[in-house]
Amino acid sequence: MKRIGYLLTASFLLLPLLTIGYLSVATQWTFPKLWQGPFTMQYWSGLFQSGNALAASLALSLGVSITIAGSAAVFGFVASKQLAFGAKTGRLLRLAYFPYLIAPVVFGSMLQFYFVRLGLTGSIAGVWLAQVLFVFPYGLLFLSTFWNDRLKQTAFQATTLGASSWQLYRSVLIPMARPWLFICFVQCFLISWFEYGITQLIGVGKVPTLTIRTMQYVREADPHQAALASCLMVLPVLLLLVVNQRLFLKRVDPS
Amino acid sequence: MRKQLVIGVYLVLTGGPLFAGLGYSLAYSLGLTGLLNEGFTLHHWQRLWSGSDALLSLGYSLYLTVASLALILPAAVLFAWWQYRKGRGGLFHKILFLPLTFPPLIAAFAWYYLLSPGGLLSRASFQAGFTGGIGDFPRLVNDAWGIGILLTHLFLIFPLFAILFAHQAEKERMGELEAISRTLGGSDRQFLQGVFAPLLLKRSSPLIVLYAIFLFGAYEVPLLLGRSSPRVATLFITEKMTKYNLLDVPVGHAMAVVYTLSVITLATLLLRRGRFKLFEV
Repeated sequence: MKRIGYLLTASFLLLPLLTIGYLSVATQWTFPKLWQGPFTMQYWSGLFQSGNALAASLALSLGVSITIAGSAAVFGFVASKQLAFGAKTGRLLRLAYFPYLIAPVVFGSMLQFYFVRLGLTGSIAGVWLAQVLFVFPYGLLFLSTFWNDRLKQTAFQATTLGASSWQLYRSVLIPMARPWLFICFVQCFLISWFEYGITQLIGVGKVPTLTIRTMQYVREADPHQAALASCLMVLPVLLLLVVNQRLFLKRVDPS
Repeated sequence: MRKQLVIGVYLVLTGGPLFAGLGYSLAYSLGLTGLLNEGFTLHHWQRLWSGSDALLSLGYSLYLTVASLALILPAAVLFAWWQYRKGRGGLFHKILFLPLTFPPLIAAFAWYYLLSPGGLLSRASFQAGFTGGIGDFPRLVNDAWGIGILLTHLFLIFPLFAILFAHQAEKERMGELEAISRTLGGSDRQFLQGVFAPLLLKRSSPLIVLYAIFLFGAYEVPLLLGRSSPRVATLFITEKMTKYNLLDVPVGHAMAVVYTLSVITLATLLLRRGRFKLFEV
């Protein structure tokens, strides 16, 4: 009985990955066959042809997510320090929860007017800015837990001993915060990487990140290309998981 | 000076868009701005509540939130219990991380091909002789009860809570509590129901509330696996705002105000009680 439960749970967790993997190499899948050949790598090899739409989307998604994650980590680090070191500014930190908790697509709907007025809809800059609105608060909230009394004292000591602001960051704070910054970077990258709603809304379909491309293929009833796009979304994250599970654990349990 | 600048940028980036967006939606819903602006009116708010559509939408979002958590939390507690008995680790623990690599949209896509009438489960059921064809297979996607949505939510969020609860169980010195429970004559089941589960759920209550807010604002999964009616609040808002009927736009904005204020109120209450320390270490 226990073995059946174990098998069912493992299947439940594994089947989606197997499904997108299977669909990305299958040429047909007619009912009622569970498994149907011939299999092909043509969709995968197409990625390496010049002008491939999915390869371009992969590059675009990577570019958007990496730059957002990097900026969020830097901004979060600097701003959280100022907020943590201020006597009365700690309460301001609570403000960061709201943009993070509101569904991005609703947030984007309310702000669409401003994006239109600024001429940012349908542009990469618009999508980038729209994602920043909830990724930055997350980065800041995450890094705000880095600052504790011991760190404040260390920073104070370094300043007392004559360290300039730049030296304080370069020689003291950044080396101590390196693991936090890396986890923050990965978390922010994932939030941006997984985003669909606000990207569609502000990008109006003209900024074809991988999620947008996947949805486009789903709507065109092209499961093979949609599955390939899905694999491209999942595999880099899977690689991160293999490298370091702790990056994901931090997301679950900050302790 | 630099500190004030950084804090100023922070306020502009967090509070600015929030109040600008909320203010614009409120003004739009009250007829103060927008293409068909006719001056102050409560007409759009009356329209929002006059039919059953908005209430049904909010109710459906609430149902999916509660039902998802009702599936996820007991499953995660049972997993933590199993891990507590057997010890953590092993291949199964590694597999548990897999769903964390899935964006909601991709998970919904994969589950569509598993649960739809032409999907894997339907084929397996046909091969096993349980059903006679596509038509015999029960509707598990785009269905009224949102079964596909619930299963996808379970797939996406169960691992998070399972891992969290397994960690919590280690930290809470369950062994000592179990020894006390046994001394007092408690059975395995009584310990699980009276101590183990309540303790884990209480300790994780801020995160549970957080995920309730996220689930209430779910968009991608209901978009692919849900129905056009009833539809979740986020879909109601985006459809009203982006479809061609301009008369519906203020109603969409009114609903966006309702949704946003609900989230802000809930979060404020929790923050004020000091129970909402999401990233506290």
